[in-house]
Amino acid sequence: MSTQATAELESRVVAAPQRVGVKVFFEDQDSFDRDRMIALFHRWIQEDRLPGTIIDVHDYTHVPRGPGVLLVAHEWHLRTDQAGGRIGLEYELKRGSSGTLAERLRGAIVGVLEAAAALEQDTADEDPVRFATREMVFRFTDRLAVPVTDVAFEEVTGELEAILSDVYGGVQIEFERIGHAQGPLTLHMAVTGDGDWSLEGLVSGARSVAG
Amino acid sequence: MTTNGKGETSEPRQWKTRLGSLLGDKLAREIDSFEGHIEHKRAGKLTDEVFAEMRLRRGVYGQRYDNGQRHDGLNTRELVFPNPDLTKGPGTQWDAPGMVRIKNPFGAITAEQMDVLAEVGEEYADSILHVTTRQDIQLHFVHLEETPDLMRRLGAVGITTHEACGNVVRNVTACHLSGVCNTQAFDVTPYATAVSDFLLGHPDAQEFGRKVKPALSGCADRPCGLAKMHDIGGIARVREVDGEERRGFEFYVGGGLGAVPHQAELFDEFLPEEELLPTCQAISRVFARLGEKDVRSRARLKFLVAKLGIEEFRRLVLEDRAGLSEDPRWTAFLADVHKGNDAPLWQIEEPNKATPSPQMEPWLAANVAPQRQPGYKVVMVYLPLGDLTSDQMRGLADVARRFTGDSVRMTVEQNIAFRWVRESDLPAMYEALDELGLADPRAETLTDITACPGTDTCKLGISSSRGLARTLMDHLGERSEELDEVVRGLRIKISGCFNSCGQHHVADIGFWGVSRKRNGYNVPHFQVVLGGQWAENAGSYGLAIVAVPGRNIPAATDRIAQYYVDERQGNESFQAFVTRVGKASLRTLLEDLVEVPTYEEDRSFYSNWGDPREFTLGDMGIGECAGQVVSPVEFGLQASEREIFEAQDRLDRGDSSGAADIAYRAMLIAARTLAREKEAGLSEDPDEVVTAFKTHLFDPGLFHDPYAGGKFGNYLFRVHGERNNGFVATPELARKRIEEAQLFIEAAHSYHGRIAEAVPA
Repeated sequence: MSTQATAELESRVVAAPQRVGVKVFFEDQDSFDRDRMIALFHRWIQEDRLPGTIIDVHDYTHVPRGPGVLLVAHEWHLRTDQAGGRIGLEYELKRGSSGTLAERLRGAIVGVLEAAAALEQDTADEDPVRFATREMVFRFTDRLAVPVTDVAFEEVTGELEAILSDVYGGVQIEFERIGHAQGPLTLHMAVTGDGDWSLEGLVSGARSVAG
Repeated sequence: MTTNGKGETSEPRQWKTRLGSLLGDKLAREIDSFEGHIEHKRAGKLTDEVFAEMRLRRGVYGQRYDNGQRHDGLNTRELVFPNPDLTKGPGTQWDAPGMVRIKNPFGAITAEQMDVLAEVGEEYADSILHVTTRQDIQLHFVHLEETPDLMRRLGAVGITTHEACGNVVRNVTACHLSGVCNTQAFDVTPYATAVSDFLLGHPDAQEFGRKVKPALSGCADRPCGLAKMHDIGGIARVREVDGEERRGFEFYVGGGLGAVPHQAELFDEFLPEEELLPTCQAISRVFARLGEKDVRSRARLKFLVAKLGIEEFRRLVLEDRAGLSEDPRWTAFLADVHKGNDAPLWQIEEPNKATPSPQMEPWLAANVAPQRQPGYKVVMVYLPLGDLTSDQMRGLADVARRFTGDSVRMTVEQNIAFRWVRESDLPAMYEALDELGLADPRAETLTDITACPGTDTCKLGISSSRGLARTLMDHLGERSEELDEVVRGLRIKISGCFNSCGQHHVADIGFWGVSRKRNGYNVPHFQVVLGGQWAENAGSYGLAIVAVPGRNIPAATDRIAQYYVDERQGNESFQAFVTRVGKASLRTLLEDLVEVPTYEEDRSFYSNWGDPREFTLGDMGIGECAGQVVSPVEFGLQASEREIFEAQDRLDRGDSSGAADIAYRAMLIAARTLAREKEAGLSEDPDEVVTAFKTHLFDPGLFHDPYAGGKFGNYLFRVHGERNNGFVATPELARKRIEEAQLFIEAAHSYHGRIAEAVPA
């Protein structure tokens, strides 16, 4: 851990979490195809499509409002998540991340956007999957680092505002705390200002922010 | 309470410090000690074998691909983990995620515990909690270093993973209806609690060769307790003794599924309640003293009971019991057994039967049952394949608080039962469950399918049991309106290999995964097992019919169901139907489904359901499912024993020729298993197997028995030679061949045991 992160831990409610989940939503909520997604994730393992040590594909589509098809890597999980009744792609950093809260948030945002871009690209020829680019959900299951409190919500949104402002180019963004009171700190982000963003553009912005 | 973070900067950011006072000294010390073992292992101060047993006893398992290799459909790839030189067991990568089993005696679970289970599921695993057939909960994809904190958080709400695995007494299971059941003799809950508490960490229960699984049932007829398929099983009985009503148990020992299923033997038709704990203790002592230790595949209690005979086993146990020093715990719990263990959250002040909405009707019919206390119901929450999300678990905690309090139990059919629900609350509870996606009206029906983890996460899985289960759930679910009523109540259970974790032996329709070589490829198949008895505490085991390619199992299921509907006589049960129509008829029914099209014609036959990769056995690893490790040799020898079971079954049904052929095949499997250790690429060709066995094992004298010399090896050579000598299998000759095959396999076990002992740890 860097000295900056240590200082952060000492002075703030929120520390740098091991686990950070970011979800982007499918544009068409009815287009999910289990078999296609399973085959695609297996192919991604063959092709080393995403960075990391990818271990396996796991089918949880029988679980209502569950993780759908799960791609398990040593460093992250990627799921076609249906929590809250809306399907999207959730990327969750879980191992080996380092740096400050902001650095980890950036890493998770890059992770989900790159995975979503890969999915759009690899389905482009037939029944393309497209993602909504004006909203995201952030989930922090690491309760030691990110307590489920209003203060923690304020601190996290403060960090996210700065990061997403870079990614979206200074547009107006709103955050709302969602989910169960006993659940992990979860927040919904929506862009309220005018603009139109392609996934590729966001990926590019996020990469530059992440350095 | 939950173990949520509190958000105060002054609070330590360590679960150990934050929760220490909630754990109790003993548990805190145990977990600290385990954490110390992890550090010692990392520092190279513990061997793989020793550390593996340590972590298994804390419920920390390996998982598929933890050897660092996986076939991606094209090639076997190395999984590159951060610490490639560190291991947490033989051939088990340190950084590879694994499984944690959480022990819940008789499946009881409180709302507070549900909250914490939800938290640990999403913080340390993949946000899925899996309810097992033994009323445990499993988490997958957990990293070793995080397990101490996971245990602390569970311990803070009274849950342990201690002895959830390993060669110890496992979770004590019991009917989920205990206390509210209409047919119970009495509530077995306090007895299950007492057995569980008494044997956990008991010094007499630490030196087993294999695990011991106990189960208690409140009545004889219903299936909930499954007492007769357990190592130790008790069925509640009440008897009048000297004019006084006395409680006791119809007490069984030596049952078990696995590769070679055994029906339990009756130990005592009425074991008085005060003798329950000392008898369990004496059984543990006899098993620890006389049970097999070296040959793992013969080390379960069922083999000791079979070897000694129930009379001798009983004599030894009673003799040991007589010599035990009195322990106050044997009877201390009896003071409270009549008090009642749980009570309704809400009293019924006046009967109020709410009017159900039309969409509730199927749910009421399938998932709701009356309990013995008037006005209250048991609501079953159906969990597909035993899975639920952390969000759903948290939602169920709310449901419990709102409607039932802590009277919630997980079931052996991988569902969750909410007891003490007021009838008037049913519509509101339905709405609450529906919001969680948990009001599916499938509980305990044909489409409430049980499946072991199989190739999804188990290192021993051959075929994809869960992939098939998902397919059958969809397939049969789509046809549910058309299904005949007599078919809807049947049970389907699926195992990924012959080890029976999916309990296929006691299903009406059971499947277990096998591989068959067809057209030059390995093809995933499932052996079809019909007519097992789920009722009467798993009263009898099913009949193996034929191995069918996995792709054809949905069609096979349809045919079997339709055959039953068409040919059933009167109110004939499925078990009676299978016995009457016989194996030959059922085999003929499925005959054309055994065919496998060529690879070019239909490649789907060469993959598992739900997994587009070409099927391979290359991903199978060294299993830990039975505590310690199961080597490929032991796995192979178990497979050969399974064939012997099949051969005996054939003979019992008058098929001498088939029995003799299968017994021969069993010998070949055992011979190949051993010879392959010397010749890795050995084919399945019988001539090559026998030649390799002779060259590598028999001729150098390695296989020779210390007393019988080459006698058992010669059985193989003679039987192999009989193939082309016009051998005609009379019942007598078939029986002789089966016996010789058994002896050959025993000799193979002995050889393997000698080799294992000779290899330094």
